[in-house]
Amino acid sequence: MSKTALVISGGGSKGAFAVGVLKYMAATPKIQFDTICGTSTGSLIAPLAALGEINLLEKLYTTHVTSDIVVTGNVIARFAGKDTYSLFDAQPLSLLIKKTFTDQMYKDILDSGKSLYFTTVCLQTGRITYFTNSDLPLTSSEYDVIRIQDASTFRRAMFASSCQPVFMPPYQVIENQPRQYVDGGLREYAPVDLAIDNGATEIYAILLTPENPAEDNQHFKSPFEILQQTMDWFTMDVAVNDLRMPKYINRSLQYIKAVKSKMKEAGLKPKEIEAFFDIPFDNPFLGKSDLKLHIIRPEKPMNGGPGGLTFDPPEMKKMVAHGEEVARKYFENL
Amino acid sequence: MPAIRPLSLAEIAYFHPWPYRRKVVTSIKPRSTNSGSLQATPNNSACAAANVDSMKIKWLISFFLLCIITKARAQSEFPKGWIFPLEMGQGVVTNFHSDPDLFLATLAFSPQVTVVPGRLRLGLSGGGAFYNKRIYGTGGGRVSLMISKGPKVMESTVLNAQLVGEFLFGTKDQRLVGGGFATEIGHMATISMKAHRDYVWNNWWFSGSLGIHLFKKKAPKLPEL
Repeated sequence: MSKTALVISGGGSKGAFAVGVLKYMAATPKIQFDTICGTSTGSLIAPLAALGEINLLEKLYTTHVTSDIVVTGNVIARFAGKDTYSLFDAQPLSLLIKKTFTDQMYKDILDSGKSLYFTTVCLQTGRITYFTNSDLPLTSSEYDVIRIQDASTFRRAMFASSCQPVFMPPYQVIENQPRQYVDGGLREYAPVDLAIDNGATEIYAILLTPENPAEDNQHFKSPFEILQQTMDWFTMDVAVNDLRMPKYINRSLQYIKAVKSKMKEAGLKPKEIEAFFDIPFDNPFLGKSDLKLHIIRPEKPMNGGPGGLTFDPPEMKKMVAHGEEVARKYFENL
Repeated sequence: MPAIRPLSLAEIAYFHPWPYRRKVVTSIKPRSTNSGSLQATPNNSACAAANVDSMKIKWLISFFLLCIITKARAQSEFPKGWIFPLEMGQGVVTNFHSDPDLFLATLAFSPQVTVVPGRLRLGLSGGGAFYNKRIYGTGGGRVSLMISKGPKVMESTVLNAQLVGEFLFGTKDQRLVGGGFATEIGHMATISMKAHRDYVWNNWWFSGSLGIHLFKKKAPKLPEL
């Protein structure tokens, strides 16, 4: 059975680009998703995308300013203070999540039958941890999957997935479990692998960075600027690696398909062909079929400040428009 | 038709009810006027009072609007709430004529509350001063106006610069008016340079001080989601 998945990467305010793409997709090709996976800002977009609340998404991503998301404090007071956890105070974002993602919305998502995955990283174990509403979440030795039991955990997981470590606080998603979770973008920028593992045959991955990053000709002098630039390149590297493996798997699947086709031409029966590839417990492609991977990403770097934490409504409106434009070009060329 | 000229401060005081009138009424002198201009008289005092009231209302509205606008956005410097700095300083007391100048040491506790977040604090200052081999008590009011948030590090502030004004009473009839420049670092410490004029004893107090903020605020907890 074919399954369609939507993957939305992290990127803070640059999520406005994803909103533009979704706006176009909702209006034109009318694609329905079975699975939606998000990281960071992608986790905030995922539930509303699942419910088709594009107007609300557009409003959220074109009206809020930075202080509606985080309060930038005094760096010395935050680092020296007790129980501050982060450079910025993320209380406004938590309030916004509480106000927007109601218990009723959680019920509507369960009723829709769509599976949502929020990417986080556990600070204690360092493992990628997905929180999902799925009844039958896939387990893997490479990551942890935790099933969301109620609306409160749903919001908590969404918040943890959005909290960029150092800038925003880690969050204890499960109340009686002393584990702290942070933005999944720390290790997985776009959870394309997860969508493949969940049996997706067609994946729409909306990424919030261009394929070729812009060069910065600035001469870096301050250690803080160097730290910021290092973090940006680190994020870029995570993004490149996230796509490298799915592309490689896809090429491998296409190669196997071509080999099978040649074997069929050579006169082998389908059962015999399958028997050649049936190596128990050692088949990395078991259950995986040829994948259609659509990558939609901006053509040029977008403004959004360090870590995408600058929320500037006029700039975000431009990102929405750019998202619509890129999506239009992509689907017209399909 | 004769032009109406603006009222002088003394005239406003004369036509306006207490407190201006009671204090300044004796200093009112007739003002020479250009021919044809209309002098404010008790007959048109209602008009003048109305002008003053309207001006006051405009100022009040502007002040409250400023409060609302700045309160709507949380401020990283001069956030709303109280601060409790304990300041220790030293300097000199001089009248510029006698030699040597007197050594001055001060200790003051200056609780202040932010009245306009990101801009203005008001508060009290109480403590003691040692000079001329004696200890005197001092106390009075303080106003702090933030003039700069300083450089930003990773979108966060580090310090702020402020202008400070004080009016202090001393236990030996000192009357000190003055102020200076202060820098608040990390919501933890304040460094200031101040000058005060003691207009009863005809002295100047110059001092530099270092303050440490007591009773630090706890970081806000995230709400239950």
